Amino acid sequence: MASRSAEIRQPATRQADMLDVTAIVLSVLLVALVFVGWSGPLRVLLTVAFAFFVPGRAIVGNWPRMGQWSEAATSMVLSLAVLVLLTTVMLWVHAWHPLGLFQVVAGLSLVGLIIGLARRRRRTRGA
Amino acid sequence: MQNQGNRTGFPSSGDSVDKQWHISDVLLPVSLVMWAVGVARTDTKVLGPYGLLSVLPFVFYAAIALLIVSVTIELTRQRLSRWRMTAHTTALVVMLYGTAPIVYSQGRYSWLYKTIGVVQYMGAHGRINQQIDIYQNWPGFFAFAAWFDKVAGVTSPLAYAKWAQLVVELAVLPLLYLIYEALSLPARQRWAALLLYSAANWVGQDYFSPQSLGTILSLGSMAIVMRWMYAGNSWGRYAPGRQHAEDRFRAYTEKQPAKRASHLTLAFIALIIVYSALTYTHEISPYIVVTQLGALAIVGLFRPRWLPVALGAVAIIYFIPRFSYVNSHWGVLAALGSFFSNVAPPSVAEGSSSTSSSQLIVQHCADVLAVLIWVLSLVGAWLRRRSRRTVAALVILAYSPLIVLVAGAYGDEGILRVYLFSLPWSAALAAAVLTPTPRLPARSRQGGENGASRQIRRFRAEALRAPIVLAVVVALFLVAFFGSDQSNTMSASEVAAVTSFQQTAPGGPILAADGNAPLNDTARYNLFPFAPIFGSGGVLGAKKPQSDIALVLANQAARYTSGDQPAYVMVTSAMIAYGRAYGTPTSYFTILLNSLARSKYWKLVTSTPDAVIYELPPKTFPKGFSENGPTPSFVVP
Repeated sequence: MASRSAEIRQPATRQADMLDVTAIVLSVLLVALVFVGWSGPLRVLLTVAFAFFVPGRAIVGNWPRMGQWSEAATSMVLSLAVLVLLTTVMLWVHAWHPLGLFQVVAGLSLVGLIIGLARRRRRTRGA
Repeated sequence: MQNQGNRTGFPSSGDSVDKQWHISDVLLPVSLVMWAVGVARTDTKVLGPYGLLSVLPFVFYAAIALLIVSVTIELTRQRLSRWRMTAHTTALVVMLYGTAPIVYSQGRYSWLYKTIGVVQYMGAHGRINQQIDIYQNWPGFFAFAAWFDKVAGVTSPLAYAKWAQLVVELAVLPLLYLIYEALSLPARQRWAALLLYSAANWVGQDYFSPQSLGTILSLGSMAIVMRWMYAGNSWGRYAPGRQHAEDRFRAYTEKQPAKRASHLTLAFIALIIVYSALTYTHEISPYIVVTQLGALAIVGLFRPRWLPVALGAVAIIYFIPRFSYVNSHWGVLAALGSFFSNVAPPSVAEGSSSTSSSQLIVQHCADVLAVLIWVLSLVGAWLRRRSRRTVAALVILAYSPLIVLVAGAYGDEGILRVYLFSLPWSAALAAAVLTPTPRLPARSRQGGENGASRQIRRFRAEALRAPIVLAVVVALFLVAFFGSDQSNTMSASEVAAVTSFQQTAPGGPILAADGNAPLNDTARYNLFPFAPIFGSGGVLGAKKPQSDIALVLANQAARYTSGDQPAYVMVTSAMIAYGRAYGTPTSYFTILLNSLARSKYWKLVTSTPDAVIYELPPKTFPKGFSENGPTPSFVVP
């Protein structure tokens, strides 16, 4: 039973891993573009992808039950909600540092994504 | 465990992945190519009275017709192909919402530019000023957009704002799918509902604005609620023996209460995060969500019942410190209980009897589309009345937003918001009319070979409803969505002229021929309060301007400024187009411009083919000036 269950989980695990890796690549690319100060449509598109996906993906990747229900849509909603809350709080407390916030969110997201990947690997091996 | 679901947001229960060749594999790419050709051939330099519709080439309409044929063929298949349905739905959204940002150089709708100004203000100042306007009291969207601009490395949302409608409409698709799945709608009905939603959302609340982000967050809240807290049943078991993923999870967690409690706690946390963001983002959306959940809780379709009260408390606690501002500017208490006047849409509220015939037709098409969706939803509810609790839930969710109209008109947009919040659920019910009866497999087995053939023929005949209804809905949508583009679009030179002026000119009140211009899209937007000259609520009202109108305006402006700051008069091509559509004769603009040109008080400061701006310098007191007399009511719009 355990091996059958592992077989079923494999495609889903691969898909989740792929989403995590995509989020990591997006974050690293955007951090690099921001760091070198490069502007253009690519940076705008990467920012859209980051804002609509990455922070939420870092949460959902560590929340298997939510991920099993929906990987992308919930990631999107949580990403937007978290960023709205953080940016609004920054305005309220008169501490407006958008690029600083981006670096913190990107850093925490990378940590969350890597932990999520590692935990999934461990679960898969244990199944 | 045969069906794990698609984990990208388009789960697969009831769908299938098959490797056979379908005719839609040809029709869909062909329709996309035709659409691209149509868009490339569209010349928007001169729009007719029906806006974009009159300049879109035949091949554009043919592309949409072909897409409808293709998606209908897919919908009639006994087993739906998940990826093909995803591709068709995405293609429809791209065709409907991606056309405008491609063919126009600037974003549509004059009100878009104000939201850009608020974003710019917050990005530049890094703080909010709640006394400026209502937007600064609900800053979630603006804070997020200002952050986005810095990270994306753009100086103004003007660079990307015109794409917002497409992005928002694409973003809501997976959320709607999750909701429909949580309600256990048959796969065919889910896809039909997605198509209907996309084709019927003519309201235009999905532009770069708090309400568009509010739509995503509202649907996100509802998706979490429907997945984890909905207490209804499934929508009929048309495929006996198949167990839905959520049913399996319920059965599993009911045996393990601790796990269920843990998952529910996490779901509550997620809901509170999303709902709090919604509360800071938009004034009305949180109340509509709470109203919908409260109505579900009352009839026992939602647990725990205290949750709508808790969510409502979050919204009300946020609102209380802002109540006096909102009430003084928007008359919340005065509108309370005036349900029927609150229902009136903006077109009626404008009250112009001289609206052009083309715009009347456009308004009627929008009204007919809304009524059609609601009528179809009622028919759908009747057709599927046997799946009691799910139909009851959808009817409650579709019609409970009407309750918020008791509390106010929301700047005459209340009914539009009600339609917007009703649409996901109305579309789900209306989709029942489009889709064939979902009992085919069971009956076919009972009826033997002949029975199966008969059933399949009946199934195909019923499927004709889909193209007919979709074609009618899309046709009405195109008129409602693009029919007012003559006045909804702003040229690049108009936007550049007004933006440049507001970036550099000393602050002062603006008398604008009417409000239809790319006004206030800079961080200094609050320095330029505005009053219209023509139309209802204008300085002149419905009166015809005389040749001394420049002197009249100079007196009124000087009375307002007391000579302490400059005042301005602005006329742009979008204002003239709006006047033509809504009953201000072009001759009025000519009289105004001639009078200003002759005036010794007004100095020309900007003159381009699309924008003319005059300045009344400070300390200028025109002939006949008196401190007593009418003074325009300038407001930061």
